Amino acid sequence: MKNFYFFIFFLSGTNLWAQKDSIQSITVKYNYAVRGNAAKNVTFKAAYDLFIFPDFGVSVYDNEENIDPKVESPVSNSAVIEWKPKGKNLSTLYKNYAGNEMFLKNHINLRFFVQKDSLTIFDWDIKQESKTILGYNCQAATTTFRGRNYKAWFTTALPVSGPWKFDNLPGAILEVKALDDYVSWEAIGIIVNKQKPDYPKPENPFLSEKALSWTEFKSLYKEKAIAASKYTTKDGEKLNIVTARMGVERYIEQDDEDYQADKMMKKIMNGNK
Amino acid sequence: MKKSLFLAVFLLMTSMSFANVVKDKLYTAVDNGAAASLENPLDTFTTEDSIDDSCSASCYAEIYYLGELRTTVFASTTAGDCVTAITNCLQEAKVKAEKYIAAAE
Repeated sequence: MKNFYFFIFFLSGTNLWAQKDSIQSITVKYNYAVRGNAAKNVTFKAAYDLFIFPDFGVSVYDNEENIDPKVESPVSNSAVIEWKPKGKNLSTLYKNYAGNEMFLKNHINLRFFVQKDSLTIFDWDIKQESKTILGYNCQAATTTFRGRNYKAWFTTALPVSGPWKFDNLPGAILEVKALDDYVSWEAIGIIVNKQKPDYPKPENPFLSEKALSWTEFKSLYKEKAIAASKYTTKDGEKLNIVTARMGVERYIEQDDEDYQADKMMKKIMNGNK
Repeated sequence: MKKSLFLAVFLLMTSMSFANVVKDKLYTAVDNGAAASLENPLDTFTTEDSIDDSCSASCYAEIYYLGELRTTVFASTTAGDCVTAITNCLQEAKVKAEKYIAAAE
């Protein structure tokens, strides 16, 4: 028993010594692409950085400030509208590994809410397949997550982490692709640094706001989608709003019977043919 | 004489049919042009229904955020011809979408 306590003491002492020596930071740069409509011909491309701080047990995922996202649409058309909201931390995702939680801002009908998720929401199936990404030996894993099937590549040479919500593999996820080609993240650069011992721990920027669980978020999303379908302006004009059932994640199940606005509009549009 | 008359009537009928085909193609081309840029979960981008001297068109504007389709705003208009109806419809859908964004923000 004495040996056990000594072992614990030794471990914590080593840990303290390591923290004082330096703070490790790892930056993974990702190319992100989403083909945001059924024909996959409105493509959005952006650059994101994942900052991993193993000593603090946190990671911060955010878009690269100097690179403007690009929407590629084959034909310029006035009916495609890009919403560009203003606000802080709209693209930030904060992961706290010690607390097994992540936070991000997600919007419901163009209004932002802080959404909280567990880091263990992914049920991965690790494969034998391997390949090298940026000099790191990576192993394949597949999962189904909120309406889409994904294949990811992770390396055990870097700490547990991943782009956007993706996580819970035994290493850093360097590539994730939806099997239907809807969305993808590909690592294009990795920087491993040692910071000074007094390097500040990145704070969770969402702590001051009430965070909705995924179940609460989904429920509110559906409620607001139903309300939006009945929305009229102050002048009494009905706008016929249809809210998407899913993006990268599925917000409203396909067989949901409470929300029918999209199916009704489809019928109306097809009836006019 | 009979042959000439028959030929004239035949030519007239053929050119009328051709004109109709061209007219239809024009509308289809406008429709496809819009549809090609978007494609959509609702199978069609614009629909038109020509009755007598007017044409009704239905269409929608799509609001994207970070490349993801989030909201679709529908509109419908009627005009003297289908090209005008579709053009007006797209404009109206866009205006409605912008009104919705302004109200929501």
